[in-house]
Amino acid sequence: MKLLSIETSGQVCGVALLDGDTLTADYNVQYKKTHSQSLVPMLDEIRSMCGLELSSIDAIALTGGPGSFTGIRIGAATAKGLGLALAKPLIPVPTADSLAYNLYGTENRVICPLMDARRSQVYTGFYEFVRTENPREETAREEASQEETSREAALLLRVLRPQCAVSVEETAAALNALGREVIFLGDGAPVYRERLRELMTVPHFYAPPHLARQRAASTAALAMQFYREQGETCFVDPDSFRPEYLRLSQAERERAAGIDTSQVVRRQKTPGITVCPVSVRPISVRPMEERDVVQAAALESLCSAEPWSAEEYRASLGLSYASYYVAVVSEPSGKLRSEKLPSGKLPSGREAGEKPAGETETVVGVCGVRKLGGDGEITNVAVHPDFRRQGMARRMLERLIRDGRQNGITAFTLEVRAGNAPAIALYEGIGFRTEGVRPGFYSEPAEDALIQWLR
Amino acid sequence: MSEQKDITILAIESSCDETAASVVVNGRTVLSNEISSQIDIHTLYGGVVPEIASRRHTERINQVIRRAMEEADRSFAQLDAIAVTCGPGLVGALLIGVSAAKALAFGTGLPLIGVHHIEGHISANFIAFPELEPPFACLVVSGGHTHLVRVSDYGEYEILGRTRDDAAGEAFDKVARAIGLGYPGGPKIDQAAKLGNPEAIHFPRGRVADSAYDFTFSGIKSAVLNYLNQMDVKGEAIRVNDVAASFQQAVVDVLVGHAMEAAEQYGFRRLALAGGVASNSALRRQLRAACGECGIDFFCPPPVLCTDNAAMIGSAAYYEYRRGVRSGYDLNAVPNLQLGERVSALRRGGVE
Repeated sequence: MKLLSIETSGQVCGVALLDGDTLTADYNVQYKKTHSQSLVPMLDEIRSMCGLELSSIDAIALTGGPGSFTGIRIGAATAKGLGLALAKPLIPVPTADSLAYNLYGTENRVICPLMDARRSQVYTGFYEFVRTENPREETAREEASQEETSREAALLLRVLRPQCAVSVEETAAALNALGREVIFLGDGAPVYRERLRELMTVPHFYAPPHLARQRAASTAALAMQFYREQGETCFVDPDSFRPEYLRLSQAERERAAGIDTSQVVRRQKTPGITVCPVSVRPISVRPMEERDVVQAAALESLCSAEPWSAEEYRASLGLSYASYYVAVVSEPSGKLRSEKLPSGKLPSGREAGEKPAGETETVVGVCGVRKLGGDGEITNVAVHPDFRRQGMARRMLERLIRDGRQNGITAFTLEVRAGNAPAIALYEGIGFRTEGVRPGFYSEPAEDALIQWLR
Repeated sequence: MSEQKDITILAIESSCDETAASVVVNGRTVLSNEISSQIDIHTLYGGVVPEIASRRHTERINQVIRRAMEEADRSFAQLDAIAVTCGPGLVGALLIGVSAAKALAFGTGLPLIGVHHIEGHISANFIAFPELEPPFACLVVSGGHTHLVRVSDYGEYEILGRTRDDAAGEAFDKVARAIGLGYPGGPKIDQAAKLGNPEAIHFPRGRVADSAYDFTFSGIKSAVLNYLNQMDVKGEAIRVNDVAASFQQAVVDVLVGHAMEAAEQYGFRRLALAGGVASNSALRRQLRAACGECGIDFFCPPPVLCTDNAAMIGSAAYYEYRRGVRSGYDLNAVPNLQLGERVSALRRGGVE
């Protein structure tokens, strides 16, 4: 198995060639020159330096995102073009996983890659290396006559929390809750080092420079690991590959949030191409359905220390005394989602030949209420971090309260962290008043709960 | 050239909101011309959203290239070069085509040719009119560009005039939005104008003081917006079709006027129209009529070759190929690339 690897997700532009267990080349540059200008010349250099016959490559590994939008697209378009030219598959590796793989051997510590995602967020994930059975056990058993027992073991990368875009505060709180030592790395680490000094309550370390950034060799090695574990199921057809951005574009976020940007004229550096959004379709709020439960659980895991699982939501949907609502963003075109196309059956490039656009809904808010007698206990309120402060929670709650009153609920109650000022302001805006306190109700960090009522 | 071997080029275009690929032989024969438009999604936003465009290009680029190769019934081994638009345009959008083209060139060992988007628009005329050869004049009018160009030879361009502010197509989009016709403005105004009176309202035809052939359209656009405000203040309803027709007439008058004055001064015998706004029916009709009066041969490609496409890039690339132009693997997307600009980075270290 011979892998060519491409790394352009952050400030590093890197290429590597991994042939079985031999790292033939690993070439990384962290310099201002644009990846667009550097990447193919770097590939060409290792090709000529190593006498590489391109047709001998079995697959092209790359970091599939998140990262710089432009950076991951340069890598993606290059990998796709190369896959097309050579008729070889891609092996995309999540960027945070690839970064974590730099720190092989850090058993018992949590590895936390941090990439600066701007807008006070980081792309991050939590990882650890776990000891596993000797991967060569079969061989070892055969050789058991010669050797009594093998002491060889292996460490495998385990994902504790898949990569996501969250605030550094949420990241720190979740790491503190794990109660283990943490190693930070990635370009977000220096950016948030001061803040983390304040937030972190567990011992933590920073990776040294030779391990602290994306490396094409790590991407290649982890892709090789994927191949060994999963076989060809880790292959992605270069035609259908799409990077993982973990975020909508700004225009989509604004549109989804119902911000009327029709007066805003975005002007590119290029003269002439003007962007001027017109009617903006707002987010819709509707009762939760079976199809929403997986997304709802995923959303809650972003927002809550004790998220409900999809199964819990599914079970709750059947309860006659409980009601759940979701706020959904409709992505305008199903065609945005690249379906994996059967080979040889490619869609026409022309619009006329395409099926009408479908709509894909993304759950960005969840709330729920349980009816106990005439009281409505509001059990969940969660809004995706990217969609906060846009009135979404208020809209969901207003719907919940309106429906609830029609179903005989005369008073609503909820609990909120005493320090959660934005939420308290929201609830008081709707008419809730604090009527009691539960001391030390919340953990991580310990905090009082305010009991609020809307009567 | 006729005795030389056929040159087959795969061309890629992704400068704005169309992902396109085409296989072109000898710059004139189009074997395939695939275009994946994103207009549906950008219509939701009333204009091109660069980040969305870049994402969509990334998703579609391989399918579009593969489709172009299949329709042309060619393999990579049967090609002579890979060409790609490297500017001007939206940088994020350009980068997708440029990155994919470089990877294809690297993977196949084929030479790479970076092409100027406007040179492509002009070259659309070579595809539509096999008899057309330089020298001629070309009026390039699109959403992002308004240029009056003298084409003295293949690959030799002299800009006689260009817009100082808005491109003509940009003015169409803005006015269409202001009068509630929506995006894309060009076709919508064209349609509405057919039902309106072009002399209903007089909008000023702007001139640039220090240049005979440069264009300005921001004045016309502002005049329309002022008119709309005045009507609003007076509480009078506007007649959308009349506003569209009067605005369009003002733009067409300026374009035709400049082109004909230049034709007279420079003695052009042939005038070509190019770019997305070349599909505008009033512009085509009036420029054709003006050329007819002056005994000038008029050329205008069919609409599919006027709007963004890769066949035109393949045509322009062929003449670059003949001139020995090759781009290096460090070819970059240049959002503000000037016409005829021989950027050393674009042409340095060519690979073949």
